[in-house]
Amino acid sequence: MTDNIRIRQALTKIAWAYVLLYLDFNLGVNGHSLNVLPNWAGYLLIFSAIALLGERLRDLLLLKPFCILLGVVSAVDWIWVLLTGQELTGRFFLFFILIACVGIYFRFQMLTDLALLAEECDARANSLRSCRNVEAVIQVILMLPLPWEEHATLSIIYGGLLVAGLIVCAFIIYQLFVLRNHFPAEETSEP
Amino acid sequence: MEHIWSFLLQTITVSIAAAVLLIAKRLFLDKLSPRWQYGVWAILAVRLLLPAGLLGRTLLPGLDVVLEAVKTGVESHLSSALASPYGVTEVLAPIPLIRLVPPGSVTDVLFLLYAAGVIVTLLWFFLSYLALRRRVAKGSAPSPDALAQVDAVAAQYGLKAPRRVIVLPGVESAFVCGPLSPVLVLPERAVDDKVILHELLHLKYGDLWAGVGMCILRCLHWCNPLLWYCWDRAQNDSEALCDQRVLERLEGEERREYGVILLSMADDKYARAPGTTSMANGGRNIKARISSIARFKRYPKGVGLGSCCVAAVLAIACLGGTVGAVELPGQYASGPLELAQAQLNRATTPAGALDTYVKALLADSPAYLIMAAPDEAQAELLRAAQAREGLDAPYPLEPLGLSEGSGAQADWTVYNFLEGSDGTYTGLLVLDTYRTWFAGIYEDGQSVAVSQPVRVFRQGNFWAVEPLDQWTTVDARVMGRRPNSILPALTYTAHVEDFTIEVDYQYLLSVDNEVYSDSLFGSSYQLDTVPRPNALFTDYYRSAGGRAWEDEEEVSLTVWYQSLNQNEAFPTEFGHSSFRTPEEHGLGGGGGSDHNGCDQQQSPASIAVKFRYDGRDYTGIAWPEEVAYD
Repeated sequence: MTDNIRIRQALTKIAWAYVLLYLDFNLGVNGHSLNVLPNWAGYLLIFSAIALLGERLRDLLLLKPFCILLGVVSAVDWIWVLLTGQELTGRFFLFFILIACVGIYFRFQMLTDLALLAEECDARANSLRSCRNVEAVIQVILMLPLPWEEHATLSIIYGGLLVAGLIVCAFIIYQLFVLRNHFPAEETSEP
Repeated sequence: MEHIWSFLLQTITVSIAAAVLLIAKRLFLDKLSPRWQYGVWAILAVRLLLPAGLLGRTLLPGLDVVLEAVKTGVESHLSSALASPYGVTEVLAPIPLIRLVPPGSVTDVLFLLYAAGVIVTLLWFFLSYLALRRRVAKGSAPSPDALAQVDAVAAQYGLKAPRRVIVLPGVESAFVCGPLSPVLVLPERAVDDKVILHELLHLKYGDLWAGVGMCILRCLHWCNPLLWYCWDRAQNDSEALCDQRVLERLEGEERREYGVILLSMADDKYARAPGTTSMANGGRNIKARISSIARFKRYPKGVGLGSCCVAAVLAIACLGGTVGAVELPGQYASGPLELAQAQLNRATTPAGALDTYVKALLADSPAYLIMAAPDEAQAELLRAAQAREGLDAPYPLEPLGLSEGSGAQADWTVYNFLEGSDGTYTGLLVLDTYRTWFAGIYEDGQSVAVSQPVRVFRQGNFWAVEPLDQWTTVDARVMGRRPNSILPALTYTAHVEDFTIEVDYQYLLSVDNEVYSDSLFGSSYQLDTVPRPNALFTDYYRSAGGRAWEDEEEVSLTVWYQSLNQNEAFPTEFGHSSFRTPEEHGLGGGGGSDHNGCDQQQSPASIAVKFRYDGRDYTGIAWPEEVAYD
């Protein structure tokens, strides 16, 4: 397998991983609502993508432990929802915060590395970086201890931030597919 | 911090934040730069200066419950002068606030020991610094070559040279001393440019002041080893950051040489002195710094904003915490943790106090009543709850012929809730079973409500209820009528020239306690029996009537009126509220509801009146007659 095909496969996996991470499709199972697009599957895809991209993007290898951690936490939460109908980690405020920090850093670092790859291919690296920045800032703002649901203005802002986050995520996925298309699907002679 | 328990709450809270930061630093050890590693200690510094439990937020839900339970268990056997067994532990300030009273218990002595420790540690740091300054004062002037070297290094890297440079025999490495007038202290032997650069960078970035700040913070929690460890780590991180800054200014081979210099210091012993920075900070620390230098080029680039976001989330969590609302205790709570939940849920509003008082009496629950009882009653209520006994108070619905085991429900309303000059409220509390399902079993003419005059008063941050008389039945004609002419009104009197106007003003307040439940037979409502210690009045009804006299002779005239709150100005215009004297209160009027809390939560402080007689308008203010329920 050539480098290009490996990178193409990795980018496809990351793009689909983003779909899994951001989209929740819930079904009633065992009397509880269960996400059939589980986040742990997304982290599994990213983990295999890191292995494929590691040679080209050395910094990405630093994310492996975080990917495992986030995947395990997501899997535990997913099973817990299946059994009890509630997430487990959300109950432990400080643990939840540490995982949130890891999650923010993980996505930021990964998009930083992918932007580097996009830069090498002249594939709109700056817009990927902008989306990365907006996504991170939105996540931090949403964590502010404000009475989001109690005031009408704050509720509107909260809804607006969620919508903005979704749009940014959709744009990231789109850009990842665009970036993927810079790498040929068939084995060709190396450029 | 006024007693040992508030110190414990503060130091445990800060320790939790420290533990979170230590874990986060370990997670990001090889991913985020020394700038981030050092910068996040600012979160701990701010956390330490913020009182624990500020704005009702907490880092660890349940911590206050455990601490309160331990405190009540310990203090109820002691006679402490500083701490009360039943008061809620609060941190008013992040520093010890000492009351000059003789200690009454071992916990008082422990707090005084802690406070003394703060002063002793501060003094010890200060004297250590003075001793070092005295030693530095004995240093000799450096050779012209050494001075020229310092100036050259400063000029080369665009840094400010210190005003004073001295050579001190016996020192192993260069260091900077004194935040106000910094002195660069050099050893007798020749010093490498890079060492001087390191010290000048400490000066440029104000690390001396940061060191002084850390010393003061150490003193505040001198007996907390975790925090000492954290500040040691912070000072090592400060050195590691300075190494990073040096490396950013060096090129190729020079960087390797810098590492060699650090290695040469690895065997040095190091005693941290306040108000100083030194490149040599002990063998173990230097090894950690060399590891950090080895990662210098490996930190991922371009993640500045990402690292700021991670720090922001940590700051939000460590400083803001999470909602510290404590669960309400169960009706039959008897364990120490459940009773601590009751103590931490004491009523924060007059409406909350009344709601909790009523529901505690109806449920015969000492645990509930703890939330609405005055301080003096807390000990007895706790004892009753622990012994699983009921309340030592008559069952409110007993005058209606109902017994405690009947499971009867009643809706409450407070009539004529008036604020006195001392800030306490008085009113007539009415329990009405009219709207409950079992009201149907009453015979015609039988009373369905009871009343009791009560006083509601503030104790610290909480509100408590005190009954002023026994429960008595209310005339059966009331039968759910709000307002009504059977129960009393407050009388306000205005004297305007030769006229005397009496306004009978009935004002009712209540909390919407209806909860709807769906069943196979449709939805039905019932009354919420769980206390709401933070409730606001949500429903009000009002009605006015009155009489008028000209001198001694009663006259009939139309009186327009408008209720006034404390310090409210006389209205320029009157609305449509009026009555024609003589008129009985309770026959007209209206009400409303606001689930965010009624604006007027009490009877008016006064009533502005206007009337016309013989073609002339008169205005005045009617004041309430003194109410004496007891």
